[in-house]
Amino acid sequence: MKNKILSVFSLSIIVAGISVYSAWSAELTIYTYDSFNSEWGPGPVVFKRFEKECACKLKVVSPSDSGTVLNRVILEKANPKADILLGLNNSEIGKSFRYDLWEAYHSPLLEQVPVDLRVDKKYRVTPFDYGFIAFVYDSEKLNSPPQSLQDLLDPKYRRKIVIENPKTSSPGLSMLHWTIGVYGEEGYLDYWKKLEPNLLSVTNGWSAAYGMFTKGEAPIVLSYVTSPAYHLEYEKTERYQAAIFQEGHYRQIEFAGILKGTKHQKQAREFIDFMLSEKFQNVIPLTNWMFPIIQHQPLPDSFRIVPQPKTVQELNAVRVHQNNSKWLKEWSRAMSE
Amino acid sequence: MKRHPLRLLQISALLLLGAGFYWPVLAFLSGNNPLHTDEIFFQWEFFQEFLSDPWNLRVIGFSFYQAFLSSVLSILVGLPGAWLLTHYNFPGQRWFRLLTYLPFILPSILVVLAMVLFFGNYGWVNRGLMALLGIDEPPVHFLYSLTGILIAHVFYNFPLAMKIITDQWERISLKYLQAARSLGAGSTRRFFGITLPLLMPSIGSAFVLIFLLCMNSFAIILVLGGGIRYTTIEVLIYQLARIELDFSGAACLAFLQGGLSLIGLAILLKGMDRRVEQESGIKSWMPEKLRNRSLKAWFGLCWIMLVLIFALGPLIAIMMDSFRKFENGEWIYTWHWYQELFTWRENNHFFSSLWNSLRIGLGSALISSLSGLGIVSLIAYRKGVQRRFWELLMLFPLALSTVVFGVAWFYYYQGHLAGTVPLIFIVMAMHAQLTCPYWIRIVLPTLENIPTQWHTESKMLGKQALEYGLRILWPWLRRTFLIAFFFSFSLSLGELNSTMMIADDSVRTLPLEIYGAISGYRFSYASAVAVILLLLSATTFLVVEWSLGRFGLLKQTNKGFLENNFAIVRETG
Repeated sequence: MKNKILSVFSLSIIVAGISVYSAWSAELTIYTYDSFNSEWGPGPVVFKRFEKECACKLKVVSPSDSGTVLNRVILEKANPKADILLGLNNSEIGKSFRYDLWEAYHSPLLEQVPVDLRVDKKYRVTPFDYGFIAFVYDSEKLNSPPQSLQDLLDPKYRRKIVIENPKTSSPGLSMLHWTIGVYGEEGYLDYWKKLEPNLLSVTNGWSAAYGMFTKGEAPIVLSYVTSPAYHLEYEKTERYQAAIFQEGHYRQIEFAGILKGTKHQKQAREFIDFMLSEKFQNVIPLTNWMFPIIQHQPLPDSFRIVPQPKTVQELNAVRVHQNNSKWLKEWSRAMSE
Repeated sequence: MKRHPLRLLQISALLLLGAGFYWPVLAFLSGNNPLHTDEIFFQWEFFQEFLSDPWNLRVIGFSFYQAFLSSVLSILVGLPGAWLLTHYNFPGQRWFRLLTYLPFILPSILVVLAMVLFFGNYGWVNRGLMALLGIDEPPVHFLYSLTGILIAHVFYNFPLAMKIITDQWERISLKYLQAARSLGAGSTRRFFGITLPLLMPSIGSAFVLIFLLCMNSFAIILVLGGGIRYTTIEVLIYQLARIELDFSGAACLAFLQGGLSLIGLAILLKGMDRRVEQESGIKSWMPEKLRNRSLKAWFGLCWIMLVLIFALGPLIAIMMDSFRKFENGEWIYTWHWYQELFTWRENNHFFSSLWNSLRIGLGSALISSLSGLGIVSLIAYRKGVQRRFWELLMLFPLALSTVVFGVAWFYYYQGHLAGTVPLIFIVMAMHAQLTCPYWIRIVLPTLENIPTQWHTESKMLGKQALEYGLRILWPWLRRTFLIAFFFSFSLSLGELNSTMMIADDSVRTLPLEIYGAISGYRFSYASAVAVILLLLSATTFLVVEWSLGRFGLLKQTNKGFLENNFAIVRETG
């Protein structure tokens, strides 16, 4: 009898062990861009929280910028390795729609997201944060900051502005779309030609541009409206400010979605819901330096330096996808004339 | 036919080159476009369209122009250094040699920022001049023009030229120069008539490597060139592959770029076939001490000072940057970032990245040395078409854009290797593909300086190939091997582009840490990581050099040893 009890007992432990193990071993694979999952990004905090909540294990792959990660997913399409792709922005989702990557999911929490941020009406991708690109300036070197895109053309800013290249970086591309939004396809090249003498350098990516700015090489840089909040939070200084433009600012929204072919439908959906919950959203401002898509609590104190700009007419994702190559071609030719 | 002990090495080197580079790249490119499965990859229309646009032709022209200028300038700056290093002993020579490896270790973002910190409009040089002259505007604009691109490329590459040329110069027999002198040739004539022709192989080697590096340069071109007027093929490839997702276009362009560079280099290598073969390897001079007050000494001193400012300036600027922190609106100097690096935190990836960098670097340098040895033994002493074929075959991995190489590898890896081979070995193999051409080009000129008759004579004496290798080749080449090994190691430490596509968190390396820190606004933290990367490489170099020296495997003067050895061979004959 005793023996029987013991064997039942041990059997049940084994069964329990196996079931716990299988629950834990249900690995959900998330692809994201590198800085999201760096030590200072939101990744380490939110992924851990999610693992606790779903009692499953996450495998996070974050090799490079969002463009590269998207390339990877598209190349893997026949034999998908990831369940979730997190971190595409509105200039990139057009491409992803073209390759039909997504498994649609309409999260119940999406109702809380402001209507104008729910861009995808087919629920293929779900937004998780947003921000605005803006010109950040050093208030010690610049007494009168520019107040509009038009102001940037003033000769007093000659060789004082650093921007990113639309051909190689995402803020640069957003800047191109910004000017197309404001001046239209007929007028944007004209604007850029006038801007050219004021540009010190057009860098390959945000890192080089912002590095040049903080190292005192140029007093104006193309970055995000939220950048000054970092300096206030960690460096206790209000020296760096974002210039707010009358024409309005171009908005970047970041999205995540479930990839077709996932074997973990349930957990993937749980993750999307989790992404909109406060456990994820509240971490965003101070780690990803963007606005949370749902404001569950007041923004951190350092965000007092961040003004809410007017949003400029956004370009439709499909239009962006169709015309991007043409725009880039025209732009690079116009700029090197 | 007797079995050659090198045969195994040769076969495995060719296998690695085939399986690691040619097979994935060719299989990817000859297949269908993975994004549009009904289309084949190579589109002739693309070439036609691309080449009929004069704007694109200007881009091609500029790519070649800047790469050519950069290589020539790097060699011109490196040549006096090589002269100084071969002819004179001066204090700090060892440290001077170490300089060679350092710039290559830094990821391009930090090279760019280092140049800005030092040569920028508000960099050290300009701020110094402004304080000196009492003016408010920067007096010299080094950067954001073609000059900026050239300064950065020379900073990056002249030590490589210096190293390769020095290595061969040290092995030029003095006999020829003495003969010329006794015939009344002046020093200028001796240099142009004898020394320069004998140095041609190493100058050619340096030119080839630097040219290909500059063709693939990307961040430097955009940031330091100002980014608007100057565009290269590599920038277009990046744009097509990463932003527009046009793999087919990117691959076509990569082949156009690689093909054109190789054609150019083939012509160059053909010219180098006319190299002079030395009949004697005996060198009878020792470097003199750089004496005071001679004109040469002053020239040497000036050159060293200039190079130190030029090459060390940006590195020191990065070092200083790692010790400062912006707080309450001003810069304060602090250990803060180093403390952050070395404190244990749950998400601190620093140590694991350090470990990964070290083992990937050493592993790939080892692989590239072994396969380099195999290929070198195939090429050495060969002439004509056959030689050029092998040379171009092994240079192609370097000529092909790393962006496209990465995509091709990723596709191959997904289909065939994922899950069977640990990622870390894949990364090592990929890095080895990219560093092996350097290894070969560094070793080849020095190896071919060994008079062929030695080999014939030792064969006649019935010496086994292994004995020849150990007693003649190894003593002659050990320094060169070390240089080549560390060069591969350094390149691998800084490499990121090709592995980005296949990487996951198990192969996270220090360059990735640097990028992560920078995108989180921690610029000075990134500088601190870079300083550690530099220290890591410097210590590894010194440790290996020291231990080799300790076991008598690396003497500064291997001349006596060699001569004795060879004398024995001759006597017994």
